Amino acid sequence: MRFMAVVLLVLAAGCMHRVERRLVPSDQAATLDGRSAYLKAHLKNGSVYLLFGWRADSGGRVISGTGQLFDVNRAPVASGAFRFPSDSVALFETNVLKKSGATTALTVMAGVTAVVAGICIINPKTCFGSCPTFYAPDSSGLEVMQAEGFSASIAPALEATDVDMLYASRPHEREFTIHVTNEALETHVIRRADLLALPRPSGGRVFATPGGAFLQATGFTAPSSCHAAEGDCRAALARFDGVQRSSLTDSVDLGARETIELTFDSLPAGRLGLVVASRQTLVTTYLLYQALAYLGQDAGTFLASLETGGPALRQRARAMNDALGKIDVLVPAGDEWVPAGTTGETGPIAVDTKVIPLPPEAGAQGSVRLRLRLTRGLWRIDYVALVVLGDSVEPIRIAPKVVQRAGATDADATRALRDSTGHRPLTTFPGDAYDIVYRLPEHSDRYELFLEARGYYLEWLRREWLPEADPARAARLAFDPAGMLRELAPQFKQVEPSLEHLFWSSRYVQH
Amino acid sequence: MSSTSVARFAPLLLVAACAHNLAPGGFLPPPKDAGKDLYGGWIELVVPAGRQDTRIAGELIAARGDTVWILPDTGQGVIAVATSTVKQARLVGYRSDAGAVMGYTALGILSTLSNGAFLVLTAPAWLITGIVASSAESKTPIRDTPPHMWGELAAYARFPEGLPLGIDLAEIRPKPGARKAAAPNP
Repeated sequence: MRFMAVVLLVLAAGCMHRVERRLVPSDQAATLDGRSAYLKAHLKNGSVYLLFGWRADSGGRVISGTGQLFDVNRAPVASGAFRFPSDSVALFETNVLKKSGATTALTVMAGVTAVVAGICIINPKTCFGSCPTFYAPDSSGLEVMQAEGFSASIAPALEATDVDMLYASRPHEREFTIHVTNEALETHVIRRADLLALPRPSGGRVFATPGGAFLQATGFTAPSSCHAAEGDCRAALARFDGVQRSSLTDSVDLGARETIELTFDSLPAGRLGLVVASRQTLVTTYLLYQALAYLGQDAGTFLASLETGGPALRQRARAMNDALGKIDVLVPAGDEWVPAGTTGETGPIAVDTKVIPLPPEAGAQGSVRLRLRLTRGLWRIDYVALVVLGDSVEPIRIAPKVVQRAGATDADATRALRDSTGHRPLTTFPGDAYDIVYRLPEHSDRYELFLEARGYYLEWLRREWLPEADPARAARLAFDPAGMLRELAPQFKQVEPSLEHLFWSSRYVQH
Repeated sequence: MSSTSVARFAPLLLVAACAHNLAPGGFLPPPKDAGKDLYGGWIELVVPAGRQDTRIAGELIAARGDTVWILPDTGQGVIAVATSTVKQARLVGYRSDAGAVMGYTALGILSTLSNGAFLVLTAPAWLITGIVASSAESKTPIRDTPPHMWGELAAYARFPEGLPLGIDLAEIRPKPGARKAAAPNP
């Protein structure tokens, strides 16, 4: 395909022309355009000379050239070398081929295509997105991206259920619509997309824990201080505003960790929890594509083998994710720091929000010190807050009422997402987009909404990846992920500065 | 519009954007041969006839401010039409390269498969560029009257110098080789 773009560039540069025709009276023969390959000399009786290799001599008084003389019906009457005075001619005609404006336009487009193709060939992993993407209205009714479904489920065997908080939504009406899109070169298989509605406490919110419980929360407290390697990070983490704190990966080890130190003063009374809103950078996306590239032609076989390979093989497939780890929340215990919980969801698109309950003694000294331990360059953290945890609440499950496509009810899609058995899932392809309409309980604004999506997706293997096939390295990703994170670090550092920009530029955006 | 929709509708959009003429197939030379073609361009006149308009089409033999001479493809010989009776005229001097532009555009859209998901940007850009370019290209050999003056159309007549004195119009033969049936030429 890149070759085709180059060929187009060459062809387009030479092929399209327009004709610039000029008629010149015989007394102005000296001004004839010598660029014209042929000269037509129209005689007063209707005959015409057609000359090539022509010349206007003696200041345009004599014309000479080789060619033919034609009569009024353009039948040839003489041929050979001609020489005649210009005043015997009624009118001269020249035709000069000019490069068409279309040539310039197509040449520019071919150049752009070739450059983009070059970028994709040099770094094909930047040209493609990932996962089903869900858009839901925020409190003002504006549709915003709020969830990405089952990002780690890259094969049927890795099918999973994913619960995402629709943090920005506060529905005022009972009808609630979520827009789901397939914005990547992938096949998405969505078995379920239910809403979970949970009653909000007065002045509070409901958060999910990493373990799947739902806890009411009040008394939101921003950190008093936040310190990371780059210095003060409080401004980025104090508000859920899209301003996210992130760092760059380590240049010799993609698995290298960093810490963020948090302090909370002025504690509210009650059992405390830490709300963390985060999303991943493109490190995991890059590594997934690198793994598929190393697998080459065997990628399909490998993904299929996950079906029959048993839990051990599936665990191996997750080895890289495990090596990268999540965001560990640590609390002090004497001179040490011990884990209180772990959060963080695979996927670079939508922010995931969870609450990690802290041990009861966490606030005993009037302030809380916490440490976040995470892989450098892997996470973007938007928001942290200390909250007072309330009751555990059970969700009201709401199945889709109807599924629409291009404004009209799609009966098959509706059946697929309303089928509680999940036997006939909704399968989507690049560019597909659906609106899933739900009917919320009365007083809908009193509920916190979560999206529970279940399914998996299949990456489309790219031809550009095949030259990187390397079974030995593919195996090392599974059996020596820490070693591969060190080996791939220099390669990743080369593309890291431009990766985010390229990724977001490459997505289909059709919502 | 998804990329598949772009691909599906691209040919229609490209063709729809182009100006058409109804010169018989093979009548008009391509640009590179226009310099050695010895016949007139193809002209269509719209002339009021009672309540309806009549179309007269054929090779442009000669034109001047008050009269235009045409050799229609109906085999009736050269006819002279008073320009004052003509509502509208369209002359096509040669065959444009709009077809080539469409072909390159189609190849260009196909080549964006090499752009990964960026094709969502580059494929429509190709389509838009192709539509604009082929539309413009299809119009380059066309002269409409109005706004052009009749004298300007004479450049693409068989006799741009004007009708030769003493010529017997009945002796003027049509261009050989051009197919009789009218066929669209982009």
